[in-house]
Order: sequence, then C-alpha cells, then structure tokens
Amino acid sequence: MSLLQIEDLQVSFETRGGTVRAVDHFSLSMPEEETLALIGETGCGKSVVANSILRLLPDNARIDGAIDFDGRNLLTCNESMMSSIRGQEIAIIFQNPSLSLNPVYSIGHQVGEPFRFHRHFSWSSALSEAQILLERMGFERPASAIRMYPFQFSGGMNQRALIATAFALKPRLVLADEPTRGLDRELADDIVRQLDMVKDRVSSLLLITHDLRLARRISKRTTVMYAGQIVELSPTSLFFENPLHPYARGLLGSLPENGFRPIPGFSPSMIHPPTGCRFHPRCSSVMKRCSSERPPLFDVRGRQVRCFLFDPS
Amino acid sequence: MHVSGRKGARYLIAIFFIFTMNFFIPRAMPGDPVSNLLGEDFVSGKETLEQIRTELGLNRPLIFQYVEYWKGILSFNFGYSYHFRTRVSALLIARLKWTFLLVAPSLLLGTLVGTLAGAGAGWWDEGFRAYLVLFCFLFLYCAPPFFVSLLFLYLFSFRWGIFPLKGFYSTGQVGDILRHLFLPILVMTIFSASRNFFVMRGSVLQEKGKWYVLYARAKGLSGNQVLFRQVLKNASLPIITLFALDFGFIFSGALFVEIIFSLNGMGTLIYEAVLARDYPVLQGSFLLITLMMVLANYGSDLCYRFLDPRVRQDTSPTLKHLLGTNDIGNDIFSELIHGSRVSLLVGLLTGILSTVLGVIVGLVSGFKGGLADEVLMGMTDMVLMIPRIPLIIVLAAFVKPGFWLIAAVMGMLWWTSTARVVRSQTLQVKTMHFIQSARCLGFSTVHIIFSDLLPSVFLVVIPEFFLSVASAMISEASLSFLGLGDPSMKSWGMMINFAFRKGGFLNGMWWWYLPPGLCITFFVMSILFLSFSFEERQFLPEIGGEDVTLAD
Repeated sequence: MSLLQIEDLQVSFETRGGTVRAVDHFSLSMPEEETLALIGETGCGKSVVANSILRLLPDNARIDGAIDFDGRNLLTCNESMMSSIRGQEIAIIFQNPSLSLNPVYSIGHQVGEPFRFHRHFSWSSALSEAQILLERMGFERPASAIRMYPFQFSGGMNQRALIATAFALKPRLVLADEPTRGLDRELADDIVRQLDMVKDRVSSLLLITHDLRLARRISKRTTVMYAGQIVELSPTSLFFENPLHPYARGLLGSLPENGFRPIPGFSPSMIHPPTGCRFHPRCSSVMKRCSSERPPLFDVRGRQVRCFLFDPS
Repeated sequence: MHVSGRKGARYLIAIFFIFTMNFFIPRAMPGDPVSNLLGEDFVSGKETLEQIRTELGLNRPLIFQYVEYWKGILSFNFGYSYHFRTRVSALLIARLKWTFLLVAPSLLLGTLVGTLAGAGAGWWDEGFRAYLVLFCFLFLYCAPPFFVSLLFLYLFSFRWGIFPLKGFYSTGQVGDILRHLFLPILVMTIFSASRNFFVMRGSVLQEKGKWYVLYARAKGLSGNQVLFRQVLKNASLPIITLFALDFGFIFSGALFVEIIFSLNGMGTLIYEAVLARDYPVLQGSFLLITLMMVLANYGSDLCYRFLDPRVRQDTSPTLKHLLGTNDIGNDIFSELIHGSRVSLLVGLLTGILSTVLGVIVGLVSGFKGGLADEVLMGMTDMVLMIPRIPLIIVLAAFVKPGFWLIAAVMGMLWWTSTARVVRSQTLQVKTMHFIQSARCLGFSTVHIIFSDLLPSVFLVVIPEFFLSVASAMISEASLSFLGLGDPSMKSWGMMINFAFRKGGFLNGMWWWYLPPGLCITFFVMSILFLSFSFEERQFLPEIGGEDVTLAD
C-alpha cells in the first residue's frame, strides 16, 4: 500500500488579479521507502503541492481533492491532528534556511524543538538530542554549534540544521523544498551528500527541486510539473536517458552539459493558462489539436506523459 | 561583557556631562547666583547674603566650587530648600518612595497587559472581537490621562464612594495604602497598557508574515505555541525600548495623576518647586531623574543584548557600506536611495491629487458663486474638520495599509486649503476686464474657467502644491513610523520605524535612524524653499495692464 496518495488535488488562490490556479488535477502516489523528485521551473506549483500536504497554505487558498497519508485524509484532519502530524510524521525542509530559522533563538533550541513539543522531552535532553543530530550532520563542534544563532551561521550551515530538524523524529515522509536553492555548487553538493546519507533513515523523501543533477542523483522516480500539471512521470534513470515530454526534453537540453539551449518563450500566466495543452505555445513539435484539446496522461511502457505525441490512437 | 562595559563607560560620561552642566547653569545664568542656588523664597539682608556667599564658597575659584559640588553629590547632599524648610535629599527620598510605589506597579502591570493584549490583537487580527479590543484600546489611547483620572475619581470615589478621594494613606496600614493607590495605579496602568498595546500589535503583525512562523507550524507547533514560543520574543523587542523611554515619561504622566488624586510624589514636588522657583529642589530632582533615566537605559540595553543575539554584531559604517548595514546585512545607503522613491511618490501623488481637486473646487465655487459656492465651500469646511492622521490610523487599522490607499486618502484630505486660496484668487480675478471681455465674446463657462481663469490663479497654486507635497511626505513618514505604512515599501519613515523596533536608538546605532531622518527633513526643507521662490515671483507684475495686480 502506498504511504502517500494524492488524488486529483486542485489548489487555487483568490487574488485581486483573478484566480490563480496553482495546482491542477494533480494525482501522485508514493509507496514506502521511495525517493521521488518533483521538478519544474519556478512558479509551476511545486512548493504549493508540498505546502498542501502539510496544510500550510495561506487563508486565500482553496484546496480540493484528497491527500491520503497512511489511511488518513489530510485535507479533512482538524488542526490539532495536523499539528501532531507535522514534524512528527511528515517533516519539511524549506527553501530559505536563513529566513526559516527564528533569529532570536539558538540553533540547538530550534533543532531540539520537535523533541520538546512532540515527545515532551526536558529542554536539556532536547538540547543533547539536537547536539547528536548536528554531529551526525557533519558539524565539527556540535557542542558549540547548538549555542550559536542563525545569523552567525552560513546559509549552508543553516540548511544542514534544517535537515537535522526534519529528520529528528524519524518521520515517515520528508518533503524537501528546494534544499539546494541559493547555495553555491560546492555547498549544494555537500547538502546532497547529507541528504543522501540521511534519507535511508526515513521511509520516503519527496524532493522538490529545479536542480536536475540533484534529482538524478538521489531519486528513484522523477515527476515533471509544468504550469500546475504533471506532464511526465518516469523512473529517474529512464527519464534522464530519454525524456518523453517536449518540455522535459527542453529542460534537459537547457543544461550546460547538453548544449545550454533555453526553451523559447516564457512561463504561462497561471490566471489565464493557455487553452489545450499548456505547453503548446512554447512547444517545438506542436500539432493542430494541441491548442484546442487538453491532453490526458498517456501510459507509455510504465511511464506517464501528458502529450498527444504519445496518443496510441 | 566587554561591550556592556564600554556601554557603561559611555553612560558614565553622559552622567558626568549632565551633572557638570547642572553645575554651570545656575552660575552662568543672569541674576544673583545666591538666589539661583537657594531659590526665590530665600530672602535676607545684605550681610547674611555675604555670609551665605562665603558659606557656599561662591567667592572662591570656580574649580574649587566644582570639586565641592561633586563632593556634595557623592555624599547625596543637594543643599537645603528654603521653600519646604528641609534638606533636599530628605525631601527627594520621601517623595520618590511614593512615586515609585505608584509608578513601578503600574508600569510593570501596564507593560504586561498591553504586551499580551497587543500580541493577541496582532495574532488574531480579524473578526468582531479583534476590532472591539482594538477600538477599546484606541479609545483609551486617545483619551488624555487626566480626563480618565477625573472620570474614575468621579465615578468610583465621589459617586459610589468605593475608593478614597485623595492622598496616599489615612491610617498607614497596608490595606489602607492599597485602597488609596488602587485608582491612581489603575489609571497609570491603562495609560501604559494602551501605549504598549499598539507597539506590540504592530510588531506582531510584522512578524506574523515571516518564514520562521510558517516553519514553526511545519514543525508541528500549534497556533498558541507559535505565538508564545516563537513570535513573542521577537515582537517584544520594541517593548524594551518603550519601557526605557516610558521611564522618563513616568514623571510627566504621573504628574497629572498625582495632582488629581492629591498624592505627594515626585510630580507634585517638581510642580510646586517650579511654582515657587525652588532651584535646589529642581536641581536635585533633575539630577535624580537623569540618574534613573540612565539606569533604565542601561538596564534595557543589557536586556536587549540578552534577548536579541543580533545586536551583538557590528553593523557600523565602513568604506564598503558607507552608512553601515542593518541587522540582516542590508546596506543602509542603498535603502536610503531606494526609500526616496516611495517618499517622493507618495508626496507627488498626494500633491497632484489634492491640487487638482482643490483647483477645480476653488475655481468653480469662486466663479459660479451662489448655490455652487455654498455647497462646495460647505464641503471644504467639513473636510477641513476631519482630523487627518487619526482618520488614516483608523483606516489603516481596518484595511490592510497600502501605499496607494495612503496616497489616495491623503490626497482626498489635503485639498481644502488649495481650494480656499484658489477661490479667493478667483473672486479677485473674475471682475477683471479680460474675463468680462471673454464673457462678452460668448465663451462658455468651462472655456473661461480653463483658458482664462486657470492661468491667472496658477501662480498661487504652485506654492500650495509644494506645501501639500511636503506635508504628505511628513505624514507618510509619521504613519510608517507608527507601523501603519505599507510594509512592502521601505520608505524613509519605515527605516526609522525599523531602527526604533530593532533597538537602534537604544544601542546608539545612529546610522540606522539619522540618515533617513535627515533626508526627510532636508527634502521637505528644499521643497519649501522652492515654494518660497514661487511665492516671491508671484508679486512681480509681469502680466502688465493697469488694473491687473494678481495679489494684493
């Protein structure tokens, strides 16, 4: 049985400019002990998916569908139930570590908080747990690190503290929202190593990123999102060898090692998305029906693609 | 502890300078230093005067007097009050005791109540209950403390007789003193709570949108836990600044309460000493208050250092960052330049909107006269009576403060003086020959207003325009300082608000607040200079013609 089952998730935001349809008919299933990468460009709705799972969306958001986690529908849980799930069964690593940490509390305090609030440890034993976690995350002097404050740490160190916090209570699912964003390549590699190391200790990891190298390195399956929809879902090794969807091909083609060819055009408006296939205005293999019909997800030898090129009929 | 030692030294130097000033002022002031030092109640013959002069050492060298002065202060000897017929030090101790008994509990209680209520109001900022609480505190904040005191005195003491009318005690027992102090402490608590309420509410509203709040929820903290375990500590930092400032404020605030409840504390002492020109008492109180202010500042400084780890880092100006950086490392100089856009834009938008409105209203009412004049000028008078800043404060409390809203509301309120000036100018111009000839040529009213009248009143409009730009810029800065500005636009006022909230004033980080403050001041000054130059040009009769004098 799968650990996380997202059925037909739709998220929209009411704004003054109109209704932003951030996530559209999103369905995904994650079994236990899997690392799944969710990739796509900025603004395609990746982070919204993560925040919907934890029900951390702002008040102007409208969520429909079902998110089934271990037999419970998260969208109908009450707030106190959600609080006990957050941090304990599902943990998240946010994308801007230095802003996510509270500036006036020490690192040890913040890493130890899950022990304090979920397991009701005393502060001193929560702190010693934090110290053990930081040591495992490669901090050289964990005893002094727990007394430091976020502003005294580099972005990479703060990110490692967030990762340590996320894995603190051995949650069954960890959502990593752009864990390498804003870090230079060396630091990013460092973070990837750490993630790689700790991910076996939890059941499943949902890695949200636009860093394709990272996705390739640690994920088993890769999902590509474009304008709020899943456009391709493939095993990672197959995906990087032979991407099916034109957008996915474009993404790989824009990597420096593959010739640095950018995808023409801009990301579409999420208030008035293009009709038919949402990618058709930028697509190089566009057909007549693409602008009027909406492509469903087609099954292609165990992979899923939202493109008429793979229409069996 | 190295830094707090350096801070301590700085405060000691400040005390030294203030005390030295206190020594020189009575000796340098016009008049006889004897009466400057002893008070005007002291009257005596010429011989005793000479004797006193020798006693006080006034005919010895100044440096000797100065040493004696310090000896006196260090032995807590502030001289003798001829008005109260007692030693000043004894008087001060007796009065200070009571003021402390009144002020310390009310300040602590007020800070506690105001902080918690403000935090709650900021955290749950929507719904009927939130607005009700906000409205109650707004009322208390706006009501003058002496009015509230009188009201309470009337209701509780005079009408219902629950509490005694005056004094600190009648029998001297603990219960008796408590009964006497209840009302004054209540008033002072309300007073202090309402101030803290607004600072705290604004602060929590600002903190609420930050990432760490979302992250704390993601870690599984419940709503209350996020507020009390995460947000409160961040948001209460400005309260410490306020607490130190309030300490000096106590004496003036307590003065009203002491007078109304006939309490013999420091406030009434200073009040009586001023009336009686009792200089020794005034000097003694001055020194004592200085000392307490410095101690309060030093204390809150240490508190701040304890609560906020960030102020321990160095943000002072360097060659790379000309005006230093703020607590998260943003360059102040860049912020200053960026902030000019917001201030300027608000000023210009308000200026243009109010000028256009004012000119149209003034021209039409001046030219048409009659019913149109009645209605338009009646409207102007009504708008003139709306208190501007309070209205915007109320609006901002209910609507999300936005940049365009502020500019629009200010524009809608600022046009009245322009309208009046334009109207009176129109009344003068409309009797002139060129207007009459235009009428005779059969031009329409609209044509006459825009082609003939408008150019002639234009010169008086320009200074009005500049004045409203200047006034809008100052108002925007004040609103931002109160935390009611647009939080997404970092204007100059917002920068000062930031410096206040992050303890820049307490910690001597002048580069946080001086540059934006001076920029506003100089900018408004230069706008006013521009306006003056236009006003001067207006009197030059360049248009010519025998009876064309545009302003007289």
